[in-house]
Amino acid sequence: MSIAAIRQGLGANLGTIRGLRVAETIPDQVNPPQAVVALQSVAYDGALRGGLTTYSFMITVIVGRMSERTAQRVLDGYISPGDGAIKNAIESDKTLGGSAYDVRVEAMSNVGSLTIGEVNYLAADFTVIVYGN
Amino acid sequence: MAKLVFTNAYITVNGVDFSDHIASVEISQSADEIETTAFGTSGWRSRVAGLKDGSVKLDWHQDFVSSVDATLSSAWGAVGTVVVIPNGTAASATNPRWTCPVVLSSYNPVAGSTGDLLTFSTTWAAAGAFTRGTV
Repeated sequence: MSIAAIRQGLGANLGTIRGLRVAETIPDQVNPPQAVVALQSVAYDGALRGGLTTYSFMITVIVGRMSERTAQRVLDGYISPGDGAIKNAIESDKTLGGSAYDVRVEAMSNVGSLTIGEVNYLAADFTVIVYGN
Repeated sequence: MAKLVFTNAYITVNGVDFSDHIASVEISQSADEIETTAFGTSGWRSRVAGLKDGSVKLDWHQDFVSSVDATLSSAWGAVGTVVVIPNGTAASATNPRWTCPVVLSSYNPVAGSTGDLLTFSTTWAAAGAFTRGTV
């Protein structure tokens, strides 16, 4: 189970959301609506003999701020559990294509403005825990 | 091997390697303390060792796909054997193997809270002498 394969699996699951672009690594430029996959931390030795490694990813979802209301509505759609939600998409294949034991979207936080290259966006962070080895 | 960071233990139950589904292990051994105090013990209590006892405590990661649940579901309620080698699979004079016959008296297959990794613990009492081997 490699980090590259886990990223790929997360990307594939996120790609099931129609219209959402996915960057499996941190991109130079954003192209909203876009989900950016970033590895935050790795906890080793959760079981003996390398039996469990826990990966924490931050997935930042960025939407264009064409109008505040529209941007918020689009982001709400990604946040609310159900069809088209980040949580549902990521957990749609819990093995991430065979690269993990399990995956869980643990929390959403930090809804707010994001400025990149003098352009304002609306963004939200999703904490994703991946169990692998 | 000197001081040891404990990550590489080899643990089997009834011959099945469950090392990568176990997060902690504790082998306990004790002997009853039989008091033999009498006159003439210089004001001190006197004791000898009586019957010996032991137990093995394991903290597990549940797995219904691999053999964890399948093995324990069929094995519990009988006597089994837990083998523990602290560092890798090869026992030696500096990496001894404990062989522990135990009563597989309990198994809680599902014990978890929402969002947590599904884990469970077992504590099994000795069913015979625990032995320490070096080969």
